[in-house]
Amino acid sequence: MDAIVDSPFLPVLSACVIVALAFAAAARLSGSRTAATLAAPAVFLVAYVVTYQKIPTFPPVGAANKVFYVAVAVTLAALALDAFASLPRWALAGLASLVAAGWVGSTKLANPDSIGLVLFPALVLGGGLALWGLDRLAAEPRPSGGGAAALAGLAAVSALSAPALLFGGSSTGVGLCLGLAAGAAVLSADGFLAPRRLGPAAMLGAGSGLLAALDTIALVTRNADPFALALIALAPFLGPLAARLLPPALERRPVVAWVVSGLAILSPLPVIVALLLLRHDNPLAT
Amino acid sequence: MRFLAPLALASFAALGVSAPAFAGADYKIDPSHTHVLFMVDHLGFSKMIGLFGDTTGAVAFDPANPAASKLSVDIKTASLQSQFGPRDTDLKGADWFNVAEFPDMTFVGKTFKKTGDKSGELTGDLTLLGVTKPVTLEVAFNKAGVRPTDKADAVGFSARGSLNRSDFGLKTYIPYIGDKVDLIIESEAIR
Repeated sequence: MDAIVDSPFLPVLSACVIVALAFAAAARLSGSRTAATLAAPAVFLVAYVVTYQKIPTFPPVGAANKVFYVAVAVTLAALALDAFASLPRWALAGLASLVAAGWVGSTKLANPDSIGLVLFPALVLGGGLALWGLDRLAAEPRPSGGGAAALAGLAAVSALSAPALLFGGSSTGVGLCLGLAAGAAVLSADGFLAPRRLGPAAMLGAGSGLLAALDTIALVTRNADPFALALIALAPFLGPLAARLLPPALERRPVVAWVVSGLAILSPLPVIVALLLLRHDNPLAT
Repeated sequence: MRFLAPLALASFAALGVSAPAFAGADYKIDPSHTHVLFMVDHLGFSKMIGLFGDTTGAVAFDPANPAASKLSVDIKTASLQSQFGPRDTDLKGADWFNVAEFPDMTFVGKTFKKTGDKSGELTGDLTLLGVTKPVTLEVAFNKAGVRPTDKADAVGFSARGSLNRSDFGLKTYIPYIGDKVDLIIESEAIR
């Protein structure tokens, strides 16, 4: 029990769960799709502020500070585009990934080397794929899709990203990931009990922030493991795939589809951890 | 007053200089005999010690007017070592020293105040992560003379000080990792 109370992750976990509950309550009371949509980005921003203990000054200097504003910018842009334009959601995901990698990596991209020139398009593509995969879940009808499934997917992808960030030289990013995972899990459970639709800003806003953190270790400090990143990019597609493999009788049961989809997205975790342990120094070794 | 000149020089040198800095600079920091260490609280159990191994600098010094002396120090942040590779990677990453985007930490000495026969306070501007704040170091002059090993005209000094890392926007994991950072600097400058 002491280990939990003394954990440096307790503040971020608590804050994210509280914010998630508050947004869930607001969405239920108001019936507002916007409140439900903004919940996940809000959880990400709170996770950032509690983990880094600051709201970065604007304009942000340094990649870690840009992560916060990537999430803010993509959330607002996705809200606006959803309301006033009719861009396909895959295009929004691609744009969000482009903004994340381009802004976070701008210092390096100003004087690109050969590795950067390969990394940048790969990260935009992989990030766009991951964001589209998550947002696609939100847009799919139940029982295998919907807001609850997308939020479970976001929680799972956050959990997958934690070891990638830890081994990539960002122990701070672990707190960010755990906070987002906890908050998204709470929102997912609430979304399962009270199903509601989510706008693209939900997955793109929170997901782009997470993506920006991963872009930082990939583009700026160059410590990211490419295999781990590839698995994270593909993970959101494992949910619908697993749900489709279920026997029809089970696939039609929302609780089964929801649990199986979420666990399927989380399933690469042991592979990612094993890969990182095999290919990198263990930052937790004493 | 006689001691003040070498003390001022020593104190300037102490801050770690790299730099091509000034025309007619008298002394240059000797990187092989300059050590910039920092200590920060780790969960209340101990102090974690880190070291920057690449420090250079230049001092322009007028013995008749030590207060007008100039100092510029450049510490390469990528030279950080803490005796544990994964932690070094973390500390050099974007969440801490962000060495990819901020490869240099600089100190420019501004004012010197004598506090004893062989000691004084040197205040200057430290620039870290793009943020510049004043930092004061307590400087002790150790020795001036010709080094027997290489016949270089040398001065040596020790400096101590502290800063709050949060002043430079480096707030990660406070209070688990302490806000206050103690500095230990040992340096020689030669000409």
